[in-house]
Amino acid sequence: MDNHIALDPKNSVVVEACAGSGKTWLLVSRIVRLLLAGVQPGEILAITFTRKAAQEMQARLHDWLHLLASADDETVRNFLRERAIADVDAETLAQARGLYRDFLLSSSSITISTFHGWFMQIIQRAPLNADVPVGLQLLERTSALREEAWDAFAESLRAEPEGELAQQMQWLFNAIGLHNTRALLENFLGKRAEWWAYTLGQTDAVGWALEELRDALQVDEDEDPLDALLEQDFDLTVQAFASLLQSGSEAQQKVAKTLDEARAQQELQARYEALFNALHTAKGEPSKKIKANKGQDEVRFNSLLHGVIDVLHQVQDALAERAALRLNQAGLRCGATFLQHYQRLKLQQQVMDFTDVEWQVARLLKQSDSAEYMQYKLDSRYKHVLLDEFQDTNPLQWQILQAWFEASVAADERPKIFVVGDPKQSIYRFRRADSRLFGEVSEFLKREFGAKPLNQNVTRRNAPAVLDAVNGVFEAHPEGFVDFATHIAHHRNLPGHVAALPLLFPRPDGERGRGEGEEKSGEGEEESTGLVLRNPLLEARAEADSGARELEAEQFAAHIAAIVATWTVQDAAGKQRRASWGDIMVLVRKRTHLRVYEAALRAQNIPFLTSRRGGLLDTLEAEDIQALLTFLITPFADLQLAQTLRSPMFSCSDADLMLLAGLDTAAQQPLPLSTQHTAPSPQPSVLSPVSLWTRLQRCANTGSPALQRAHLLLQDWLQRADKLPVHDLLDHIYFSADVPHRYAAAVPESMRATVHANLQAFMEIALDVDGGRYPSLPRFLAELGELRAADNESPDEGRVGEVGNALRIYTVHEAKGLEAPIVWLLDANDTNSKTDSYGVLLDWPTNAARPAHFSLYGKQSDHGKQRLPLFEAEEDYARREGMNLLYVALTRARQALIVSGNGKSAEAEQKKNVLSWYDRIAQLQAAADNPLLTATGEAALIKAHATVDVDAALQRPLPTGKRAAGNTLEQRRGTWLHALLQHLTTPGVLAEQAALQALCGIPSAEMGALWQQAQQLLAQPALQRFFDAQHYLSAANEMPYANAQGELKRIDRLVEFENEVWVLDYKTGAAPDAAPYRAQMSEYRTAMQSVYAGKTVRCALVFADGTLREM
Amino acid sequence: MRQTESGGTHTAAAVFFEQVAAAILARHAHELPDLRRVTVLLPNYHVAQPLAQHLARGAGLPALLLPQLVTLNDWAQSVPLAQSITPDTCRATTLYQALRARNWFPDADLWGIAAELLDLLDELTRYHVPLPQSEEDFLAQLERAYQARRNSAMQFEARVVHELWYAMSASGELDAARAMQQRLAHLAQQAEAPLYVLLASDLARPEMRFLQAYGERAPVSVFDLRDMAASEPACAVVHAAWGRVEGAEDVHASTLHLREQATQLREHFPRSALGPRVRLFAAHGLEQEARAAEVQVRRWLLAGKNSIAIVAQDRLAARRVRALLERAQVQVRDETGWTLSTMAVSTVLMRWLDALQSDFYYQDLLDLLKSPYIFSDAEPGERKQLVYQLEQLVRKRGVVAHLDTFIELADAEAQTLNAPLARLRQAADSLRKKSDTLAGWLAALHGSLDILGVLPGLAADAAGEQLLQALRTWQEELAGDNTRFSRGEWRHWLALQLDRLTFRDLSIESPVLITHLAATRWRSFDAVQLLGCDAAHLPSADKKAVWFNDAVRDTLGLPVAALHRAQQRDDLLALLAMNDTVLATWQASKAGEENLLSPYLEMLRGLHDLAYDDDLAETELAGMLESAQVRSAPSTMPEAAAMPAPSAPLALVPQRISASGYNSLVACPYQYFARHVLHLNELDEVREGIEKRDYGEWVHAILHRFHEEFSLLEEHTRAELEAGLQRISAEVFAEYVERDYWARAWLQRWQQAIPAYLTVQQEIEAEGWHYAQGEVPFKLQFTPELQIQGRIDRVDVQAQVANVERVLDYKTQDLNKLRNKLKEVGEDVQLPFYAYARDACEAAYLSLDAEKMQAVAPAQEIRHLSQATMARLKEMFAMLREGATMPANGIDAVCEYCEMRGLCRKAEWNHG
Ligand code: SF4
Repeated sequence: MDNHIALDPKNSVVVEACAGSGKTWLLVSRIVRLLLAGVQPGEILAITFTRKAAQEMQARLHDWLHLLASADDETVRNFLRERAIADVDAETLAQARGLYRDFLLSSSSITISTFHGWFMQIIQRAPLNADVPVGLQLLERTSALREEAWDAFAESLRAEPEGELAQQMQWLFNAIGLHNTRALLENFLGKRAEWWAYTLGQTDAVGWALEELRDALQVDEDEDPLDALLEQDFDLTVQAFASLLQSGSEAQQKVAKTLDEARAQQELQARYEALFNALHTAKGEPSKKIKANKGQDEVRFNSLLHGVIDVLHQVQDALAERAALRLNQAGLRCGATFLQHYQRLKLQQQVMDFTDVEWQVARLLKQSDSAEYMQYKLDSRYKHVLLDEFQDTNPLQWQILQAWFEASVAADERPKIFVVGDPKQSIYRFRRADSRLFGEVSEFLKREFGAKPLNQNVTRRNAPAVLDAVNGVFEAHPEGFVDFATHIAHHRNLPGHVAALPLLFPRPDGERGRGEGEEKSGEGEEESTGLVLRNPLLEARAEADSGARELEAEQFAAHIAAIVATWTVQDAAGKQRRASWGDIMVLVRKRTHLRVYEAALRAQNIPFLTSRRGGLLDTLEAEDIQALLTFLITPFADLQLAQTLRSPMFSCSDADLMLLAGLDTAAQQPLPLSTQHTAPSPQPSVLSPVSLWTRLQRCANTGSPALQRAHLLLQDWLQRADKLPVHDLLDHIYFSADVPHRYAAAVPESMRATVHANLQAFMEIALDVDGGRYPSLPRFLAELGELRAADNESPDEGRVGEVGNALRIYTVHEAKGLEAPIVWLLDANDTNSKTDSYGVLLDWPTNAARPAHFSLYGKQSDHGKQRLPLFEAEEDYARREGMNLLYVALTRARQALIVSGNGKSAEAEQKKNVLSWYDRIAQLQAAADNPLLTATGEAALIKAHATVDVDAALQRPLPTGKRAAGNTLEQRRGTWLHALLQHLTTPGVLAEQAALQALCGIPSAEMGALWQQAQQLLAQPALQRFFDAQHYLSAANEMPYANAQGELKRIDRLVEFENEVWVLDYKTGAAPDAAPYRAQMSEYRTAMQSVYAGKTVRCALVFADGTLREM
Repeated sequence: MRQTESGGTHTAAAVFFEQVAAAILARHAHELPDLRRVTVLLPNYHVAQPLAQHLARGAGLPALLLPQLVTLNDWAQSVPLAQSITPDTCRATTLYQALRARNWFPDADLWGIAAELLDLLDELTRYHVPLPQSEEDFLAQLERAYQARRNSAMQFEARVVHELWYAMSASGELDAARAMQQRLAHLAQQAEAPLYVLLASDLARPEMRFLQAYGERAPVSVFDLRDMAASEPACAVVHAAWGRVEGAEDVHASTLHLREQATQLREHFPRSALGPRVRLFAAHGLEQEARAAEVQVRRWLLAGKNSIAIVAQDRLAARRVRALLERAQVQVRDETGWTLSTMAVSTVLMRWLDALQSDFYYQDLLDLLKSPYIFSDAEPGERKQLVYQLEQLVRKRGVVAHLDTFIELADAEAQTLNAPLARLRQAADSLRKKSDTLAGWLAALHGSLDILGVLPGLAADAAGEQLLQALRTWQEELAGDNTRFSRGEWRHWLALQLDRLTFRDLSIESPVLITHLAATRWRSFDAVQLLGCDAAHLPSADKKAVWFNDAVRDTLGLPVAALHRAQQRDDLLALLAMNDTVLATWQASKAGEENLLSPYLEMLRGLHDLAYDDDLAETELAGMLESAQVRSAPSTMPEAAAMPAPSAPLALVPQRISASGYNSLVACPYQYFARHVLHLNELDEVREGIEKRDYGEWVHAILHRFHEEFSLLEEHTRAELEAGLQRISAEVFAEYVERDYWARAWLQRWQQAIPAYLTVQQEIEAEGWHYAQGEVPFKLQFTPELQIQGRIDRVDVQAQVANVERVLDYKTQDLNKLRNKLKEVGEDVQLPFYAYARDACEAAYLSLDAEKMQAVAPAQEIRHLSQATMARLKEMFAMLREGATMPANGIDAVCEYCEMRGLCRKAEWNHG
């Protein structure tokens, strides 16, 4: 590919680049070139698909700019040459060197963001009257609110159970049941942006959509499709066919009879069904058994048969269209109302979800007025727009971009556009991405922006062996994968290996565990004592695991262990080293069966990380913490307490629990060990509703050390749970029970790191939630519950833990943008692609402003004919996306790619007509040897800090700081009085009581008395000379001075007369004992004497009652 | 005075204070020792002490009467005003009313808009921005500033601001911003004495203006730390790295490249003066950053440092550090404080309003009652007892909401709850009104809190006290306001108010404090921990104003984002200049994503690295984090987890068992142990929606009633039967349909199954089985030690043969599931168990799935199966009574749904 063209700031460019070809390199290089060309950072907008990618881009850019600033001239020249700057003169060099500072310290900053982030920036600049909440909050997790909307919807239906809407709902219940109804309406909600786009400008959106649909389905409600059966021709044909059959075989005669009976049916629907069933199999296919016998006129037979069947099929189709329309009538009405409830709730809470944001941005940008406004309101004017991973853009996002471009053309100048993408990696259809856009958009950009198209098929990631597999699978252009061109490896000598492990099938029955075997012997013997059942106390039930998947999982885990023991990989610097767990990335298509594979890894003690957040909360350690917290707010939660006790936090034994269970709570004694089964007491006292916690308290001093420890700590925590914020509470728990260390001791070595990380992650959730408004422990737990329930809430990139050396398991979607030396594609023989059976059928032609079709669909049999092309297009597209997914999966592997799978049986494999991922790879010519299997590399250096011996004092508490005893009321009164006096004696200050009260922060209850005291004191005749300005030369309140030692001192009031200076110190105490203040006063005196050398310094205490006591 | 921040010990800071002191003393030598005439404007009062000390030391007198050391704000506050200030609460209501009247924002939260507008209006006042008289002129002004053609959105913006500005200023009231202006003007007019100003960054325009005015009448001298630091070797590299925006004299920055700068620096200062002062620590994630900071703070403490500042650019990290320090019993003084709305004292308030609004939705109610602030007039133990009692009741009875329902329930089952519920009722009544003034609402709220005993609880807590004080203040301020608000509007208002209050707990005295960057101006510490120095937090993002944009704000003369950033950069410079031990930490990676260092520090690092081959990285800490932890008192560490297999003492071996108990014993003896020996059960959950098991229960009830009424189907016509079953179904469902709309869907599901059920039942009758009894309880002494018990859905008898029975169990599961259940012999004991109890000769499940309704029986002859099943039961109990162990040997499929997985701890056993 020509970097001269791609990186030239003057060009708009569209690059189609294969996986691993260095898209980030290209994009960031382009940014460097832009900066070098004098483009301001604020004029650059780069959009990529994940936040992680955006961060990486930022980091890369910084690194490069730093390199330009700091490397020697030759390196810089080379760097620039690689980025297609031919001759680097001194000026360019100087410029390049200056970029780092300019970029870092510039006040205009570059925007590198996701669509998500960028839309948020824009929407916050929406016109004030655009119905976008001021200070808008983004609703990230929507499931709770959807649930609430669902309830509100139900509430409104309940209020009017006979209303039109309720009747539609009733219809849905009847036709498809509650479960499917919910699925249908949720799917409708999920497509709300499309729905809005589709019905934009319609006052009666649902009515209009239904009209459109009626036209599309060609339903004429005045006609009854069944009327076709009444036509005489038809009846004659049936009759003729029946009599033809009558002359045939016995089986034919039977059919003839049913046909005749059917004809006799009065009710048309029944007649139709009877006729249909007579000629079709149970599955609704035309029966193959009905064919002409030898001796029958085959031509006539077939023409009669088809004469009947064709009409029946016409009727069938017409009925299906009607059914579809009916479903839409009910579904769209109910869906639209459900949607209304959801939108209303969000408005009430002043939040928007991301779909809203996207839609609003699109809506506003499409209005030229507001589009322009939002352009200039945003402080950046983009002259260069760079789009990464463009294949994952959805039509609405593209429209937004387009509108943005248009507006900037109107406002300013045509931006330069740089698009990178790979339609082959488009896998976000479920997020409405449409890879067909790529082609459309590149046409558009060529046309409108003179963009230059470029292609890149050299990859820097994969070893040739891996690429051979990629090429092998895709060169045949399977399933519409037409845009594939042979990939070329940049690193030609990188050792690689591809293997498809043999498919695994269920073990034949004979090898199964007992159970069924026993059953057989029982049947065989036929004796009265025949059955011998498993005794669960002695023998565990065999896992029903001889299933193929379990076998695959075992094989998988064993193989992984072998890889780490014997394989060598090459690190980024080209150095060979032993493979480690962290080098292996495991990919699955969906999470459904992960449990099985994880169990196998666990059984082999292989450390691994799954990336789900829901997964975190389901781990045993996180459940322990949740159980503990639940106990702390519900101390009668016995099971939760028992779990806490059994967890490593306390590691109480079962004997401990039995001790508690056996406590006769009334007598506070263990139950006598003999049972009284003679006594007719059906209720042993252990069933009394005395909580486990109460029992634990009762044996606080007699239980095992573990129980005693638990009791002490739990008691402490119960008290703290009241007031401490969740995070602080949790931290105290972790600390006081030594939680991380105790878990580390209890769990197997291989799990230690993950358990530790999970405990930490849990703490961080608490920390996060604590920052929220109106926190409480019950609310925290409720939110965790919601999080757990909403498993798939945010399909954004997964969290990769910091845990050093662990195998990582991802779905292919999550693995986007990642790579690993060794990739294992698990469960790759699964060809089931289950699609929603109730959902939205949509046709949004790329580049069209709105969808051309929007309707709901139900079961396959009700799809009808009219929409068939759309359904088929969907399927084609889904198949194509399946291939994209495979492409993404394969290209993650740097050196080794392993595929495994399972199936029903070898015969079933022979018969199937769809190729699985596994098949596609397995059928390639396999390379004989595995160059990675050398085991010569050094063991991977796990980055561990050399343990440093620390000062033992760092391991001990270091009591520091203290909470000051709160001031007594008396002391506070003193302070207030002080303050009052100070203000009242400052000339010119407002002496208004209320104002002063506020100023000095005096409670209303105190003000009256204090005010009076102050006034009294000031009115004392003896003190007049100190307070009345007529009597003195000058006076100062709260006068600070510094003594020779540099200490700060403060004199309450200093009054200067002709010949003397008075130092007054206010005292609030009633008992006028001056002794304690002598030293202080004498210090004042000495100090002031040095200032007022020529005058006498006199010191006095002034007590609250007005007494003046000179010292 | 606390002993922290003693100015004398820090060489870095002393240099600057000496300069200031020397300059002031020199200028006023003739006035010594009385400097009271002089005023020094401080950035904050922490600076007063070191400055005073240096003055005293410089003067060398026994006593020096200090200059007035004051912040500008306090100085201004001391100027009396002729007119009282209208509080912002009142202005907000006025504005709210104005907005409401104009109906510009029909669906919006007007409080939010009003708050934004007030901020803008205050800024306009503060920055002396004159709005043109005519709206048209203003619009034209905006048009120029935006550099765009006018359009409706711009017009609207202009109109809102213009109109409200004039509306608000027409009132002639004095607001705080104007008051400040008057006061500053007054100070400037009265200026006589010399004024000194300590600066670390540029003054905002209003203050500049004041200094200018003041300077016209009296001398003003500015000590700008940036200029003073420029000549310090340690700051040279900082200056070189960042340059100064306006500092044209700053030749380093503007013309030289990093490499050249590095060379120059090395020439001027062969050794780095900054290197020994500043270190950067790159952390992997929040926890490591917090730990690093915490360990470093303790190292400093151990090294005898006694004033340590933690500058919290990242609040989360600071919170974490604080908790970690508290583990080591290091208490921290927090100058930053908490937003009141994030504190538990506000939670009780809001949860109370939540509960009211949701008519006491049980979660709100329980959450409210679990607050330690409610009913604080009673013993805490007593309150908790009440809540737990209520919760148990609520869970048992599944009450979702409505105070009346709770009250009825308490009446019937737990009278101790009457009194507290009555209090809730009374408190609720006191807030039951449609609209009121804000003051009225506040008074009512206060009243209700009083009834609930919340007031004493809050008053006993420092944050609570502040909250109460705030409520009182608002109530007083708004006493004269007559605008009426709905409950919702008021609540919004309250929430906004709580968001704006900060609580600071200043009762802790400690050498370690947490503070803001801006609060460190001119302060020096023994050591500074800068937390959260990534690009996102340093500079921190400005709050984006809703109105205008930066360009417009700039033309109008309002402060812009660049200013905000420059300020932070200057503050950072000041911090580096004043302190000689600084550790800056940031998360170099965050949840697996890269995270950039603050651009200022990155620049600094880059230059320092080039000049001195030292990238300032802190290298010791990472290695010590693991071992430098403080741990609580040692306890015996747990042993590696392994499969438990307890054996129960005879006294605890159950004496009766049901079919489900037996099933559990078979599936996993440990599960049985937990359930039936330890008697552990899951908490009852309040079910808010209808679940499948509800459906199952209802259908059971329907069929029971149906067969009681129609015991022999053949005696009725099909139509009768259908009508009958429909009627009964409707009756059973009626209550639930009334309560929950979705119950209808379940009802319909059942109704669709009715024909199939009747058909199946007719077939059953045709086979000669006649319905005999439904819901048949049994209790048998199986062995002398063990009773068996249960309830059988239904027993049929053979019409022809006497005493031949068959037991049936209704299942809502589908056929396949049922078949699977029965596949492995002996693993599902329900049918043989029931058959044994009735001595039945047949037993079957009846699947009630509309699609495929059918009875499924075990493949084995039931009597054989029963015999074997019960023989095993006998054997197992004999073993248990002899102390056999109960291993946790469930298969994975059972474990997945087992509530005892936290007890057996299967996930942690070592499998290897
Ligand atoms: S989780 Fe499994 S092993 Fe543990 S108690 Fe439950 S069934 Fe038994």
